[in-house]
Amino acid sequence: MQNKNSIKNIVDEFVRKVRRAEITDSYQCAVQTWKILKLIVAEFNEEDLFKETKYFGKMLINANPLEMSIGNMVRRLLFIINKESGQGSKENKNEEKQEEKSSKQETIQKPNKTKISKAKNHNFPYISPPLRTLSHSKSLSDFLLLTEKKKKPSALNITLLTEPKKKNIKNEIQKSMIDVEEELKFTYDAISEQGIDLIHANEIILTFGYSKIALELFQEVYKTRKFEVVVAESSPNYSGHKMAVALSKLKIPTTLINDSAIFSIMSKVNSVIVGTRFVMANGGLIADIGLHNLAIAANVHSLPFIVLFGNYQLSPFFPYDQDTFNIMRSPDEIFDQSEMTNLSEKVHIINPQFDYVPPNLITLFINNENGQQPSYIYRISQNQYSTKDFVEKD
Amino acid sequence: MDQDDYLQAIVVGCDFTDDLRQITPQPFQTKILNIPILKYTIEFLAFNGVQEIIVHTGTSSSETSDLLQECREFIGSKVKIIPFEGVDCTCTVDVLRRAQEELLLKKDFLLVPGCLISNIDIKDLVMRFKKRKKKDPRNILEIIAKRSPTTNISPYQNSESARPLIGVNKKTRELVYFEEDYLNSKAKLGPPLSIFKDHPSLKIYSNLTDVNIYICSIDIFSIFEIDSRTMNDVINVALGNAEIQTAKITVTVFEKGYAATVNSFPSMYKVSMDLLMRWLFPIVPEMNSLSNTNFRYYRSFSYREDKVELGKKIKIGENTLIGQSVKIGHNSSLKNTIIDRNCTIGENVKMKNCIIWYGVTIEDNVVLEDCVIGDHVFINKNCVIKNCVLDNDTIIREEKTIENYKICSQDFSNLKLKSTEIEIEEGSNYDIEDEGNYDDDDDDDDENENDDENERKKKLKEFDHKSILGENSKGFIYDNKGIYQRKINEKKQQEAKEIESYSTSSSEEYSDSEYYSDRQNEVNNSPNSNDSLESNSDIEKDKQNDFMPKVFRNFENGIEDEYDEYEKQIEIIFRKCLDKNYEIEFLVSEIRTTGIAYRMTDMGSVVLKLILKIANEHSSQTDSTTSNSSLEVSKDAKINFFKKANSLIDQYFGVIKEFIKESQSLALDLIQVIFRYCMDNEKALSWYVHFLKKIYDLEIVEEETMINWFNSLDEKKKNSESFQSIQENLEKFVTFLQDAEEESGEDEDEEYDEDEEYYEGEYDENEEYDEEEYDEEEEYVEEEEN
Repeated sequence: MQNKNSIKNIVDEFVRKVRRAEITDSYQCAVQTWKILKLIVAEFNEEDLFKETKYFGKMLINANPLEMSIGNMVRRLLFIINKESGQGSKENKNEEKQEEKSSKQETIQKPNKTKISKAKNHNFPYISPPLRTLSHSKSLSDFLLLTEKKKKPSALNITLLTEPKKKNIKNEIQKSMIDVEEELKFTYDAISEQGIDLIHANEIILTFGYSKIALELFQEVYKTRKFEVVVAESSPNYSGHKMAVALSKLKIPTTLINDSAIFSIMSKVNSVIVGTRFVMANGGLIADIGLHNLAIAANVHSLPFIVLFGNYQLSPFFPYDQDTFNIMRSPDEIFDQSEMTNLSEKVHIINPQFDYVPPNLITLFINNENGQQPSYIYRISQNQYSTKDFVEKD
Repeated sequence: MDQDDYLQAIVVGCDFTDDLRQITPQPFQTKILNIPILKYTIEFLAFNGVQEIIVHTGTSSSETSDLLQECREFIGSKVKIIPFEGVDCTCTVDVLRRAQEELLLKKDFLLVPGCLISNIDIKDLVMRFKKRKKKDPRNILEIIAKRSPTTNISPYQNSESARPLIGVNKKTRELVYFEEDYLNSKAKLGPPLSIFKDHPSLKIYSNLTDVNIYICSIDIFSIFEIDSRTMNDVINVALGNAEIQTAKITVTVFEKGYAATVNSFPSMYKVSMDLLMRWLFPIVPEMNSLSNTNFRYYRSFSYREDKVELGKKIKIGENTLIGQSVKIGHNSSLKNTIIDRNCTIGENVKMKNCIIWYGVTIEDNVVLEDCVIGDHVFINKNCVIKNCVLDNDTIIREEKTIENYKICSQDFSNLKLKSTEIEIEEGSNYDIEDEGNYDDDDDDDDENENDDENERKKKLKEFDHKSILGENSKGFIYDNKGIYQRKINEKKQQEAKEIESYSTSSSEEYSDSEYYSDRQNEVNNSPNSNDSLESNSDIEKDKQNDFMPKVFRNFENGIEDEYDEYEKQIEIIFRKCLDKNYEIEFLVSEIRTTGIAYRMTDMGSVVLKLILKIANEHSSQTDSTTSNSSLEVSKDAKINFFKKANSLIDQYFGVIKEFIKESQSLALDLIQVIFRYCMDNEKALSWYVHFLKKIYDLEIVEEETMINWFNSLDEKKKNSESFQSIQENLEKFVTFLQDAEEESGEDEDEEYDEDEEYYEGEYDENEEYDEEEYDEEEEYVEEEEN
């Protein structure tokens, strides 16, 4: 129990940090959440594990429901626990492993060779098999199996299962977790390696605000090719300024523009490459405010609109409007308080943080594995999360 | 833990001017968006890396300790919260001294008020302060100020920190000039020119709000002086000793971020609205970070918890917050309104600019505007309540229109009541006779006041008891200002200009003028409640506003409660001095300290009033020994009174002069104090001109001021009975003054002697009768002694 309390304290501390906006980077959120989840898995035995993960997961998610990377990691663990504990017998697991292996081999053959070599160097794991290798029916039955078996173990299996087997399940979970951790760790490398396909020599690329993924990708590509980057400043957080400085430090020719100039500069641009906050299950984006404008402008000029995202950013929800997954920030950022007069108090100052970009405006997604169509994002999400695990449902 | 990083904070919970205490006698019980303010303060401190928070509670009630326990739970184990009673502390500096004595403070600490709401990030600032202190231990204080909105009347500000004028050395950020509240100060001198010379890179800020956040070094106690009470005093002292350079004070001005203190009802409403409009991001309702809530955000700054039951055709406007399990009936509408949990609201209820606390029941067709409504209040159907504060557990059972009141329900024993308590309901249980007696009590002499107070309380308790037993409403008027005093004043004054018949206040509403006259009666303890005078005073009421002394004008700003307290304090000091024959300097410094504590400026007129009062008592003491008929004021008493007053003024005019200094507006107050006193007191009436002469002779008041004042007297005033008796003398005096002024304008030096001669002649003429009496009196006294 003491350990449970200490975990609770750790969770509380993390929650407080998120709430005070001391951690705003969603990558950091994901990494730290995963660390906490590892502690939880190490602490509890497998019977309690699912329940406790849900309990703490709920606390973590409530820190900031819109910082979806936290929820994503929690759901991912729940999916893994379900999967591992659901496959009661060893044989099943072996089959699964073989499948995985075969699928890995298939995927490995697809991407270009530099990537394979690098991936091997990094010991880069391809844990989630691309679904195109599995048949649709197969994956469905997979899910059905999971859901059915989930209910069984408490009654029958526990009495029958011997001690080492129990440990094995936990081991399996921990193994899978290590895979996810590795994936998380090498997100930037895996994505930036694919950049060479996206940018051609002497092109002008438009990007929006600060995005670490985009920055790493530009850095990687600039080693082999010369190109120019135009950065939109992304008001009102002006993270574009930071991006421009970072790019110029890498000696990439950089131009900074304000958001209003996006449309007029679009005709000179060859393609748009942006990072995002979150990718939703329908292939839409939840991104910093202003990206919708950019996406429409690119669409009007028929330019490729390429979005980079790590798997931790993929969220299993389906947005439909601007309001549902959004948060209003302080008016302080866009309105000078000292200018406030009695009259202006009647003005509503609205400062939304996110923009929802619908999937039809997006040409291509690049994630840890490969390029994806917006319509395909749904399947990736199905492969990472199970709708059964949604913590919100309790 | 690294000792360098260890940071303490002291929260001074009892804001010593808090007018919210009227409905929340316990500290920290005021809620902003249904969450106690203290939680916001503690969150702010924890956010800024404070590890130990010392909360000055003032009392040791279970509510407070419960609240602190709640805070501990939500803030986590890393931050320690230590309650600190400090019962007798009456000001911020007291609290600090006491905490120091009890060795609670170890190193550098933050000093914040318990009503602070802020999201400013001062982590870096604290680090830099510590570094600077290592280099130079004279760095003992850092003031954190905030650029304030350019509105004239800023709701963020309390009276204490209203618009300071601050001069800062741009390079070192050192404070070189400080003037608190420069907008309201009498002497508009501004900073001396020499500071521009001494500090080439000087920046003067006039648009700052002192948000009462201070970073203090433990060495700050070295610059505390005996009469320091507020932090502003401390700063002034430190700046006064600037040549010695014992202390360096730095200032940091924040442009961004939100900081406000909540210590009045308007600021409470304003801050609530700011929070709904998300100025305190990331602390916003739907984050549910401070309390166990589950708010959701809807468009146009509307927030709702779960289990809210809304009827059909409900209009939920902008800036609304509805707590859990609230039921709202059909066709109701709300705008700029905050409703706490478990409230029940009927059909067709209209609510605008309201703050409604826990478990309130509001029946059908009620209209609420600009209200603060406490826990468990019941409001009957068809009530119209505007600009009111209803205390916890108030019950209104009849269909009523109530405007501009603060209404208390209980706990009178904890509150010091000064105003008359009026039952809301006409159909209440206790009879009118009681109230009549009660009014009479009010007119008694001062000596009985303490007994009076006790009696009042006893009676109130009886009423309370009765009304609980009965079916009727429960509640007592605390005062009739409501929430927004100033606004309504302006409106009404406009109305008054438009409608001539305004002064005859036949309407049910308590008009402002009526209110003031009542006030004055109380303060002066005058027997004005006689029926014969009633008609006169009714007419006067309207006009009295015009030349009301500062003493009374202060009431507008909502500090009249303190005023009585303050007057009493001075009285105690003064009497002590009188008994023990202290030095005048000592008296001056004592009175000044008290004045600073209560933030009063008109100490001169208070002293004068006291002198008159003491003289009066003196005369009535001797009076009672000689004659039994107290109705007719004997000549002896009159003379006794004048003699006493005269000698007292002679003795203490230095004190008055010290406080009046050069300011003629304060001198005007003096004249008015005398006038008012003389008009109300038969004994003093005939001596009125002599008093005027006295203060003129002592060069406290200039001729011009007196003449202006005389000219401002209007006809109605002049027609009053008591005035006519002194009119003749007064006019003579004024003509004399006018001559004196003209002459002095021509040639001051030469004419001075003539003035005196002329004046002496005048004086003799008027005095003839009196001086005879004088002699008689003296003889009489001698006889008595024998």
